[in-house]
Amino acid sequence: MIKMKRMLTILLVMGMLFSMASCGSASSAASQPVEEAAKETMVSQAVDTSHTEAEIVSQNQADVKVSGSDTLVIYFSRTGEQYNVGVIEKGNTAIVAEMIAETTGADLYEVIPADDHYPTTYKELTDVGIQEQRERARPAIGGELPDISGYDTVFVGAPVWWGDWPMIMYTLFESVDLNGKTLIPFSTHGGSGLSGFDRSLGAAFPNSEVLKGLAITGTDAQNKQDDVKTRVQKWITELGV
Amino acid sequence: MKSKRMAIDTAMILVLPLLMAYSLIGERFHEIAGTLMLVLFLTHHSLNSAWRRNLSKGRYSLHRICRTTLNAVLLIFMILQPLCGILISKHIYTFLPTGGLSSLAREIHLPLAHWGFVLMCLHTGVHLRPFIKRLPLWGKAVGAVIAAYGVYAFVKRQFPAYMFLKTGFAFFDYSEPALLFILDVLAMMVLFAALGWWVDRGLTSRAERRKAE
Repeated sequence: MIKMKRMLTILLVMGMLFSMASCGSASSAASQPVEEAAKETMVSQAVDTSHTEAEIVSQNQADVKVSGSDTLVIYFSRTGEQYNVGVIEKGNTAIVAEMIAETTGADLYEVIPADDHYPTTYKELTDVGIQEQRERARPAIGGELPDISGYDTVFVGAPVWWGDWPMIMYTLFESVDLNGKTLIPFSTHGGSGLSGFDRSLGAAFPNSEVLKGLAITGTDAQNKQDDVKTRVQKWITELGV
Repeated sequence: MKSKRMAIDTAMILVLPLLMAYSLIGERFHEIAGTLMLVLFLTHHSLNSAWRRNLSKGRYSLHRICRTTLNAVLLIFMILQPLCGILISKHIYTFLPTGGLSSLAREIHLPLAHWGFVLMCLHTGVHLRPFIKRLPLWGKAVGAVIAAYGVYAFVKRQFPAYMFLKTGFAFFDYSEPALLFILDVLAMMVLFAALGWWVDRGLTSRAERRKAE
């Protein structure tokens, strides 16, 4: 009888665990603020329509690509003091992004914060990073958003912050519609690899095709650039884009 | 009382591999599992409060010194680890202030998790002695094989790198089924439980053994 009770207890606990597992995975940081996102997009659309026609034309003209490439590399990158590499003058992700652009002949678009409040020391930057995630922040992007209409393939890269995309990338995902494109994520990191960049990118753009990503450590990006270049070239050859 | 204790201990053993799988099973679930582990631990500690009350009593043999040290270190870990977890929470405890301690808590949480994992398994092994003693020979042989695989899994899953601060970030391969990771963790649990049992047995003096058997 006691044995039966014990078995029952164990079963109950296991049942409880699995039921929690199913509700846990349903909501990630990416899927949280859908409503807010919708509001934000509406606001930005409203702003867009207020442009005069002439402005839009000139904007489009400015965006005509010299290269005529159908591939774009969108990236976010930081300089200053970073994990394991000291103070850097060129961001880890920027280095990899440029290698991708060089290999594929792609155009580059850097995500730049409108208000660059990010600390240039590693510890403080880390604290800001978690704070943004806790608040589900959507830091504003400075300057023009990329006109993605002429591109079929978009590489998207950023440093891994707290096991996720930096929150400013979610601002981008909610203001630029990459559905229908072939998307390829890449990350720079301190050991955590892609950290689910591919999954969250696929979740943000369910009607896109997400190909195999590439993860490069910050130390490699800074100190082993020949090696990284070879890896980037090999990866792109395998992707066949 | 005994069955209640056993239910709590069994639940802790079941929650541990889920905790180790961290983002493979989702960060939110990791936080829920961590909270559950804390509640289970507090219950476990209150059900076994005789340990604390008897600390000042009796003689300390080498065996008892080792057991008590292991438990004391584990106790510190079981308090520190959830505190760090709460400071870096992204889902459940976001309403609590972090006091700018998040980056420090993050740096501590990862190595502590892997040290704590080893300590918890050693502790389990020490207290599973009566159960292991009753295992038939083939049962012990199966355990030994799983433990041997556990050594491989321990190295493959980079546990030493996390424990000795070689890497500050947990790597998870999302293209691999989470179950494979959990099976590896289970093998490591068998490994360290066996190690705990074996060392504890070696430390038992002849007099103690005679008394126990």
